[in-house]
Amino acid sequence: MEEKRLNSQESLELIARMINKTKRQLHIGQGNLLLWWGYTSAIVGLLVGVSLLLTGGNPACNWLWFLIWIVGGIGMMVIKRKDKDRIEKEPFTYVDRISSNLWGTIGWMFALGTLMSIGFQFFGKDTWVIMLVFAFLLAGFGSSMQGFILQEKSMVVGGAISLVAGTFVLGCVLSDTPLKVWWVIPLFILCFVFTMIIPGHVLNAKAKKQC
Amino acid sequence: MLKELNPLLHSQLRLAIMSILMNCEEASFVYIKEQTQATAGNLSVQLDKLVAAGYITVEKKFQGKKPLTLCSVTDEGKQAFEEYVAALRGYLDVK
Repeated sequence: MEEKRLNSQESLELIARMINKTKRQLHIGQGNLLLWWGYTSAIVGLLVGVSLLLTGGNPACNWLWFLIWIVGGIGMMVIKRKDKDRIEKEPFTYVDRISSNLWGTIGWMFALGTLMSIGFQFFGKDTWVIMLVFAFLLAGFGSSMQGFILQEKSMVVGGAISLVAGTFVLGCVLSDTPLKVWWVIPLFILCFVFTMIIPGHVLNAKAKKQC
Repeated sequence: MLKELNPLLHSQLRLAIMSILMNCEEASFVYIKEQTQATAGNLSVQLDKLVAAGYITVEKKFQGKKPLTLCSVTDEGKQAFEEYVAALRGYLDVK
């Protein structure tokens, strides 16, 4: 492209062409972070559930929930490091910024919930359920919002399922209805399948098709 | 009376650069070069002109050992671009 002067029509056409070129496209591996967090949460959930059943409901098993932070966090760093080269090849869009801030905020809120939960443990209060409710509601909210931003229906629906489940669990907690391992853990796993695993695979498949 | 078109934006390459940057938060030199198919030298010159006008900012950093140049549009640049498009519409009588 040379530095030539354009007439009005050519200018408008050039603007339209450039905007079209930079239109947001999915990139290969778009759903990898979702898949990583989704599978980690589901597998750890299963591990906690099995441990609770085998130990007759020993609350110490709940410390296994921290594996989500450890395994998820390490995986996220690896995926993000691999993704760094992308910034040279693709523009960083407003959608990228909103998505990144959205999940960042959700991460901080969940970290706060985790810290509160740990804090209460020291006062002899069994508040693991806070983390559970946070997981349902925050993952659901994040997934739904991200779905709206990316116009990805599977994320909107998956997130909505988790929000409904989270509200139900919160209702049980507030009404002193006991949360039984046999239904809470499968519900937790199912929610992560709907909010992260299915949308992650859908996004990756769409990106593969598009690129 | 028709408004005069901003001469800084009324050139093919500079307009292409601004159009790309208006549509994203930041883009690398490599990406803009690929999209505009300009030579590195010419692109650098035009980017410098836009920086001098205060329309864009250029941040040079390193990603590992590789240099990375990121460009983004400023508020002044956004306003100039919007005025330019409004003036164009006036010329073409586009509502």
